[in-house]
Amino acid sequence: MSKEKINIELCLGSSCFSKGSNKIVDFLEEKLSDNFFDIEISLKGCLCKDKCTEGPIVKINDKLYTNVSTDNITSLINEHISN
Amino acid sequence: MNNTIEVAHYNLHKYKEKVAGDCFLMNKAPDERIVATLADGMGSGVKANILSELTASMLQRFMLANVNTVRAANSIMETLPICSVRKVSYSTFTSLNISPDGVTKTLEYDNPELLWFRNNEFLQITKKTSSIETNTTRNTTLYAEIKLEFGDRLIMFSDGVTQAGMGFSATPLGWRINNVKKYIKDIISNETTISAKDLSFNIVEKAKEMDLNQPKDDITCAVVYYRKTRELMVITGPPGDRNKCPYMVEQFQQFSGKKIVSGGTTSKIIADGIGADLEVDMTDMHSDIPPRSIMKGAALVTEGLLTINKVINILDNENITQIKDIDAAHRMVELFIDTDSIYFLVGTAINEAHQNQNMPVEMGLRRISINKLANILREKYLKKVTIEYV
Ligand code: FES
Repeated sequence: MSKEKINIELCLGSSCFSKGSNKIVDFLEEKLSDNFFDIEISLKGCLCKDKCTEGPIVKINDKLYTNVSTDNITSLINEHISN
Repeated sequence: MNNTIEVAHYNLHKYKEKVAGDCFLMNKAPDERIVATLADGMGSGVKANILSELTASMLQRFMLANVNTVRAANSIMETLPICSVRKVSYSTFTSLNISPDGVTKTLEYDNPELLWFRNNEFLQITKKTSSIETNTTRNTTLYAEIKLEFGDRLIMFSDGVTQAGMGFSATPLGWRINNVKKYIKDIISNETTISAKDLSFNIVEKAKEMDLNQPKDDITCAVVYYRKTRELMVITGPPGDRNKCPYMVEQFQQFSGKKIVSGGTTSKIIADGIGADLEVDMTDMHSDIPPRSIMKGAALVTEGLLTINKVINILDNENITQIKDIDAAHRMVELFIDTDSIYFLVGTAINEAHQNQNMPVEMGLRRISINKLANILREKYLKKVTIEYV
């Protein structure tokens, strides 16, 4: 079976950034360099998604998540990894 | 006016001497002419200091009043005190009277020759002489009128530069004018847009090095850099009336200088308007400032108020010559420093999200931040700043 690929888009707009999306980037980059997820992941930043009040906003494979943090991002990604 | 006369100088005292024997003065006349004089008083210490200050300030006054150059020279020669030991008057000098259109009157007396640099070459200045008999000596001054073009530089220095290193076996006669010229040519060909400040600093530091870091005389260099005014546009914030978006885009496209776009929504408006890709630069992650984005046609694209407020902080407090961690705010600072005239196009839309009680205080009103920034740029950095609200 070919390896799956996940696209993660993280909002780095002012609001999400000050609510911690920068910490999520650090967190994920560390996990990625440790190969924590046994899967190919592309990480991309984006500008304000107009959902600031519910930020940080993260899009994983076209599914939008609100109020994301370093606490819940791992399980959100795991949702997309079929076992 | 789209030309700028950038003038800067750098000076080191003779080793262990507390007062400068060289004096450099620069003034701007009400009609925008720049007049500048470098005077080198004979000897060193207090006496030299008084001689050079006196000479430079007299010359500055004549030049500011646009007095005929020869008449100015003669008055100076007649008035200058005479050294009782050597029976010669003086302070040597180089004086410039530069009009905004580039026409420049020069007056020289016994300093190392004034250098005129254009397109990687030194140009010959055709000088006339004027002699005046004082009761002890015959003094000859050189004067000329030249026309500067964009990119031209005038470089003047005291003999502390040309005589640097004198007496050492490698440079028995000092650095000497031809070697100084070679050195200057090398610097400029390496960095064609080097600022007047950096060039004068560089020359003086090199001379100091030749004196093994203990200058045997005062070392002074002044540089005039005649160039096109560098203009910068900063577009920040969506317009209060969304129908004005095309206007903003048009302003962006028509502006010929460098452009900064600050703010997520703003950059999307511009990117959509000009049909350019907009991409967050993930290699630019820093803890307190969101990363920049990359967009064709813009020198810099940043997030909005967090970045602007940090820029204000840096311009107000940090020693900007020692910037280390280059985030989007520091990039913006560099663009500001490197420019003469800054045009802010400020959108007045209020960002709902920023009014949210969870937002940090510094995300307050854009207008207040921009005003503060404009004031610092005007007052502390002497930039020409214009603000337009949309
Ligand atoms: S900043 Fe992320 S949605 Fe607005």
